[in-house]
Amino acid sequence: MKFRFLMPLLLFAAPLWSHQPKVLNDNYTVEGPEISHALYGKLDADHQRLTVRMTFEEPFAMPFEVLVPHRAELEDFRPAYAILSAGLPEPTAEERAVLAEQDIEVPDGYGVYVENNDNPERLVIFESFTRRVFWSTGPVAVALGEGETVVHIWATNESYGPLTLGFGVEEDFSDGFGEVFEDWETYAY
Amino acid sequence: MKNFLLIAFALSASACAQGTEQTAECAHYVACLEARDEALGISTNMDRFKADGPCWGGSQAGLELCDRACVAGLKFLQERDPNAPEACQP
Repeated sequence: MKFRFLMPLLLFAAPLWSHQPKVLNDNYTVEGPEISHALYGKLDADHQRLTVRMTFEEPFAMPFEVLVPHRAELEDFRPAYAILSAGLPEPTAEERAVLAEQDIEVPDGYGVYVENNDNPERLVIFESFTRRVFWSTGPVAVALGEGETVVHIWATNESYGPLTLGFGVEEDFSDGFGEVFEDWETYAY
Repeated sequence: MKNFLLIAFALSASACAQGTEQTAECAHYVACLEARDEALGISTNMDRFKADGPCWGGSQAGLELCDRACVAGLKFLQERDPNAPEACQP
């Protein structure tokens, strides 16, 4: 019932600024990564890392961010993420250590962007699709190289919860709003 | 029902706040990437951040997302990319 009440409002508001919503499973391949996406996933004791793959036919610059619902019980949930792409700088020794701890290998010729999500001050935003408030890692524009880009998101400090990986700018809702609505209570709370 | 319509109107109206111009940080980011492309002999698709790109002319939230992304993207290039040319510097 709650969903039916929200539906007209979301359809009316979402195209103004939002990403194509999809449910993020452990190993997800994005089709059409040049279109903005919001991938809704969960980290828990049995799923400590999520991996997203996307392929670009040309070098491509776009923003990335990870969002966590702004809820008291998720205050300590600070998922970290890394972007691996041919267009990025080589990892520092510190980044290599962080990635090694997660058993993440950096392929030859690839570089990384690593967000440890450990800054005490966090950006708080109102997200227009779910119409909820989130903590954000803060969006960062990243110049990706041609070929495959891989994004790994992992739990830190044994804290778990729902999260959203948002990336891209150009909108396209011709594919509908996906299965996110079916689990609305989890992702939008 | 009346309350619902009022809420829908208010939320949609607020979401329509327009951001219409490319920000200085994103103009800097585009100039940086263009210079980097020239140095590396590549062509990066950065259309969204350009002055006529979809970052601008939509909602305020979209403008803010792009602007914040450009600020952080520039900082990352300045601090970490050995190929970052002079155009990327503050």
